[in-house]
Amino acid sequence: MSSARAIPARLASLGWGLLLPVIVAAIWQGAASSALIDPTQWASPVLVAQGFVTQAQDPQFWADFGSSLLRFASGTAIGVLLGLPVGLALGLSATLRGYLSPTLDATKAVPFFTWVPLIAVWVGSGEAGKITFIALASSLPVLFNSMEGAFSVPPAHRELGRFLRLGWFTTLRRIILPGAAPGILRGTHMALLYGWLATIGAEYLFEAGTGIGTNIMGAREMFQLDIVVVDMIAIGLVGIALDAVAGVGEQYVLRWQPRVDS
Amino acid sequence: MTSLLTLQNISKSFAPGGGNVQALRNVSLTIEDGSFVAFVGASGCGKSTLLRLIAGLDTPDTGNITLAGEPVSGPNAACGMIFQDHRLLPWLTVAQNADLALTRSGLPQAARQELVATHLELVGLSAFSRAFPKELSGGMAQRAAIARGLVTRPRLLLLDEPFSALDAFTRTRLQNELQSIWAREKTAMALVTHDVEEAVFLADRIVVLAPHPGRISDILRVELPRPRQRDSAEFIRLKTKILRQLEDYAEAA
Repeated sequence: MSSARAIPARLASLGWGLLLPVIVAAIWQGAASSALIDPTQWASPVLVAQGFVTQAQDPQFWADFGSSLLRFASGTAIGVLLGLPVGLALGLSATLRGYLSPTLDATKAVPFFTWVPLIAVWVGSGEAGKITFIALASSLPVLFNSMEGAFSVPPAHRELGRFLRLGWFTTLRRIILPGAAPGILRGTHMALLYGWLATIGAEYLFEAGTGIGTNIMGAREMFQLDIVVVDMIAIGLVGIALDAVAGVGEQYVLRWQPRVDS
Repeated sequence: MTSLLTLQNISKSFAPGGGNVQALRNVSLTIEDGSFVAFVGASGCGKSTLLRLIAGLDTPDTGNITLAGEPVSGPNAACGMIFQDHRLLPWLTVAQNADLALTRSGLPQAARQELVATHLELVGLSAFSRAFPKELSGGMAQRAAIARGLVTRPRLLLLDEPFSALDAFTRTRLQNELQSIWAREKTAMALVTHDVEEAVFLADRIVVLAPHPGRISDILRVELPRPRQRDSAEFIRLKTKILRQLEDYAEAA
């Protein structure tokens, strides 16, 4: 295993990767301090740093942050739970694929943000609409990747299940799900990122309520650009955390996979 | 000895791309309990098809297959199988792979564990019971497959070119091991192979199949004492005789 060596290597590359943000922040701060730019319009790293302290002490921020996370979790959970069985069924049945593939391919070609007006009319612009939107955005990557995963289970493995007379449940648990796991996990990984993206999007595009997206809009109206940047960074950190958790989860579940040396 | 498997006038055709290819025509044979039968033949002689029919993975167009007194109508407990590819599930450990074969055994967990342990020991893989297939060499993977094939204590073990993907040295070693497993367990075995030496080394009877359509052309009894000496004159004489027959078919094709 090279993971022990990979960590310092990663830190080293992260060190170089920090160079650009540091330079940008320095120029930004320099420009703001020397009054080359208007700090009320452009904020500044120092103001942003102070903004972090302000936000951390503001119960409204934490309420909004929590409300976004909850919305994300429920929407994405619904999306994954809907996308997974449909995707698996499609991957296993050529008949079903024949009926549904053209429609699904057409759906895939439509960016999911274009669903907002229809969802607003059908489900409403409140919480139900937002959760529907998040569920839709996260279900599609799970659906397509689970379909590919189930489709790629070797016929030889399914035949082994038939020979051992495993029955449908054990076949699903021992052969189909693990065989499709790389696809399922890839899809779930994408669903987490899409779901978070859709959560913020929904808070921008549907009626105002609670949430970090609403918090940003409020700060913008008040011209608190430092708070806008703080919220953006908080949203980004959640994205990074989701990506990392999903990556670790994939590595653990797929530990049986032979390493592909590139 | 009682007859364990009876094949009566088995025929099987396939229709690839609209055409009709007769894979087997009028194959009749019996296999006795505890015996070792090898099927040899060039490609196209239907030897793998024959094993799949016995395993219940395919159904013959005509004819009857009776195994342990029951007509074969699908996969059943009397039969174990070793596939050409080891076909271990990569996400299960060696022990879990073997245990999977016991899903329909109805045995309690403890009994299953004991059977798995016994059979992993039989193939010399006790130390690897918790290893994933990716950690095994080709020969070890095929030994794990043998353990899975035997763990259900089948009356008949089918082996479909089990060692053909292995290097010569590993292949010889596994043939020796299979010979001693058979001598110890007394499970009847039906081996499909294109390796004539393997057939002469292991089998009581060698069924020579002719291709297009697949049919039995000859059945030879191997009377040599076990374990057989691969370099003995009689061994080589028998091997050469079978090879000549196969060459004749290859030229005729």
